Amino acid sequence: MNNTRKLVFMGLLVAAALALSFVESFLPSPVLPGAKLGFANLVTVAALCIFPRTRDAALVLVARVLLGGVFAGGASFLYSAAGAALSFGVMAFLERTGRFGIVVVSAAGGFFHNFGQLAMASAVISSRALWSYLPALGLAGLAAGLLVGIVVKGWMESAAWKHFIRIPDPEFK
Amino acid sequence: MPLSNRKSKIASLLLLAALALLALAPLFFTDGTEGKTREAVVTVDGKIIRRVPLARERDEIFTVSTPYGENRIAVSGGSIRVEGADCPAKICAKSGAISQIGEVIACLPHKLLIEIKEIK
Repeated sequence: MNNTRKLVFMGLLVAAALALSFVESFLPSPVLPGAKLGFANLVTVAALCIFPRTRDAALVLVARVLLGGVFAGGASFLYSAAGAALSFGVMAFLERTGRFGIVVVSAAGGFFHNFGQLAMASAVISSRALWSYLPALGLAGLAAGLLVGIVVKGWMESAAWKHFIRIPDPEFK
Repeated sequence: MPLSNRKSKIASLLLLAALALLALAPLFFTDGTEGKTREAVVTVDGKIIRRVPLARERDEIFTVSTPYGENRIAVSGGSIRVEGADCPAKICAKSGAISQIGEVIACLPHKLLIEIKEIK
């Protein structure tokens, strides 16, 4: 595997994820104040499909969350980091079992992203009361994850994408 | 990761159903509000700083100063809402008014929480 090529590709994914978060910050929250569709998760889920090694996808995610924290300011960093970590852990685990398609993996990731954020928020605010948001946020996460998964599945199956991904190196996969 | 075989489909559906059920779990622990006297409990950093009975005829506006910033809170018509805050996102103000037991408004940057509870 050509390391330079991979590094550039990972950099592009991080940039794409940051751009997607930036664009999304202008859209109104569809479900609850503060809830998001999670455009940047498109990149995380795609990275899980693209890189055979989980840690390469993890690296893209970590870079995105850290840089996103720099751009967005400290306050939301804790929550996005907690959500991203839990969500990624669950997705990586489910993918490894080999039993689930990417759409389902992504849906579970969406759910646990919000779950992790709620857990972090509850810890910060020292109260369990916030869990009353779980029905709305959990289902919203599930739905958003499904959508993200369907889009990524479409990418992975598209001819143009397959062509693009093959060119760097046959061992890339 | 083939989704084509039967086993995967069943496992997938079970997983999605389990997650949906987990999401809805808090609903099983909340009961109705009908006929109960309610109060709004305002906490900062987990410490109760104010209790406001939510009676229909009570109108009140007060400001809560936290070490992190200020929230202006309005009580009217048996409901409570955050009218304004000096946090950047103002998610608490956008949350609107709450009045049912178990409902919550949170201002995470100020570690402020408004929770509706039953007065027993």
